[in-house]
Amino acid sequence: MNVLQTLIDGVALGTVYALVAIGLALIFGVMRLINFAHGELITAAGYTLVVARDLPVAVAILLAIAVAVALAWLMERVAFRRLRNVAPATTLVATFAVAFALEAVWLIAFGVRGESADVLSSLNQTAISGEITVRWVTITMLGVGGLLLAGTVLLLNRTGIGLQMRAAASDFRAARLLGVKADSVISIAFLISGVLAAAVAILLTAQQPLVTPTFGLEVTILALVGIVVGGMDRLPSATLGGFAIGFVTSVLGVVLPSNERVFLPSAVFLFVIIVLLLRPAGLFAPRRAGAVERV
Amino acid sequence: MGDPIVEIRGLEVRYDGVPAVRGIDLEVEPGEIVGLVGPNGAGKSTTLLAIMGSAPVTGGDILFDGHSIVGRRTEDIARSGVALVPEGRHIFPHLTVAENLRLGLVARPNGEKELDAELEVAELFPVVEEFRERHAGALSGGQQQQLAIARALLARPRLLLLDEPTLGLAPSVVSAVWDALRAIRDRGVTILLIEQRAQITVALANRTYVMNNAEIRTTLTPAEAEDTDRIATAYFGATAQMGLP
Repeated sequence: MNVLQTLIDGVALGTVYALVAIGLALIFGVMRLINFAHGELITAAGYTLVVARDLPVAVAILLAIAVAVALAWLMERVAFRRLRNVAPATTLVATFAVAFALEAVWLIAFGVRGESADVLSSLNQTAISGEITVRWVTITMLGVGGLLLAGTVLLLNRTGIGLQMRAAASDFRAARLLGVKADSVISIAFLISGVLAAAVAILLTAQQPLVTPTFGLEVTILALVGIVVGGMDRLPSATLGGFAIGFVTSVLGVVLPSNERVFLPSAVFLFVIIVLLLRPAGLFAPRRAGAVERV
Repeated sequence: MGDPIVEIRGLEVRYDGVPAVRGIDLEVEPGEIVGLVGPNGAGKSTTLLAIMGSAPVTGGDILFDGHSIVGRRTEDIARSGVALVPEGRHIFPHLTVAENLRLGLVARPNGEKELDAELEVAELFPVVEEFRERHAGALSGGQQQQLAIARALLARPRLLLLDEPTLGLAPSVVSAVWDALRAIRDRGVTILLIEQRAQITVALANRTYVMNNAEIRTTLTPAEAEDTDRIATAYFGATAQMGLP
């Protein structure tokens, strides 16, 4: 096992999971909603790449982003907006309903076996070879993932709408009293989560092009675990948690003997249990309890 | 006197069927400070929340500038020129003082969001300027209250609603807040003020409504500020004759 190789691959996968985590944490921040249907945005973008695989790469990518963003907007507008003032358990169940409904659509439309989204397979060629081997897809994951994470942080910290989103995440009622438009802030959070979901789908299919009906769900569940591990009340800790779970998954995939890889999920969840026993508020949550900033 | 800036007619508010405000009438003229006093649970805060579109109005009407605002969204009412400093201040503790102030500009009409407006507020509340890069949660209670009022003023509201702005503050800070309220009134901002300090409110306000058990029981004028028995009776009910809060 080459340690540097393992670390590079781990950081790359961690970056992708961080993108999933930040998308989920944004919605949780402004709506207190754990959006299980976030994975369907990733799957929708994945299937768009399947359908558009014969088109020019740029067109296929733009279509994938457009579909994920449109679906995110539609989810909020049709399903979640009406449920804003109901009990959190109700909205949580609604996200399950949306997720399962969309999964059924994928099953009917594309079947259970999966389809190839062979759009960016050229990125699997080796970029650096020798002591370590780095493929272009790894460099792309690091570059695009890093840029998107930085872009999201800049949007939140350097723009007026970002400030309004952070205020709404801290105290929605107080934000509205100041004139912050609830609908706009929530819609923008969903649109950003759509863009991030599309990016995840593009990066994951570049690494491994098979898209199945549960393509996005699997990533989302693992990222959600990461968010809980990191501390879901703050965007930085949630994002770091997502990164950590991706990193650990990648490293364990290398460290575990090949005949033991079936135990990979068990090993990941053992890690989660240990973290939560030691740090119930999350691995990266501030030690001081009390009021928290969620975005 | 001109037309009222806000006029409440027969307002009814119910939470899960339980009346919180029962058929109250209230008027605030432009440039006035109007007080709203009464014991806890009288319906004072609910009245302010109803004006802001944040309480379930089940009857009556609220007119702002002659137009009904019942049923409008909170953010739209804020953007039309009404600002509320709620009880408990509700500053954003993890944002800096400067960021909290910038949020005060959100309700301004487009094209009037220049930050130089902060200078106006800095005159009234120098402490806000002094700690502008500090997290708001790190300020003392009095400083947070001043920040909350400063933030509301940055919206350049025509009507400022204040819910117990001196609650829990040290006496020296209380007098600073009262001075600020007078200065705000002198700048032409109309104020509807909830306060526990009944006597000082009656003395300061053009008119003070006394609420009890979800209803307005009487109205007091500054001339009655020294009549503590009258205020106590109005405040606590006909039979009570206890010390003033």
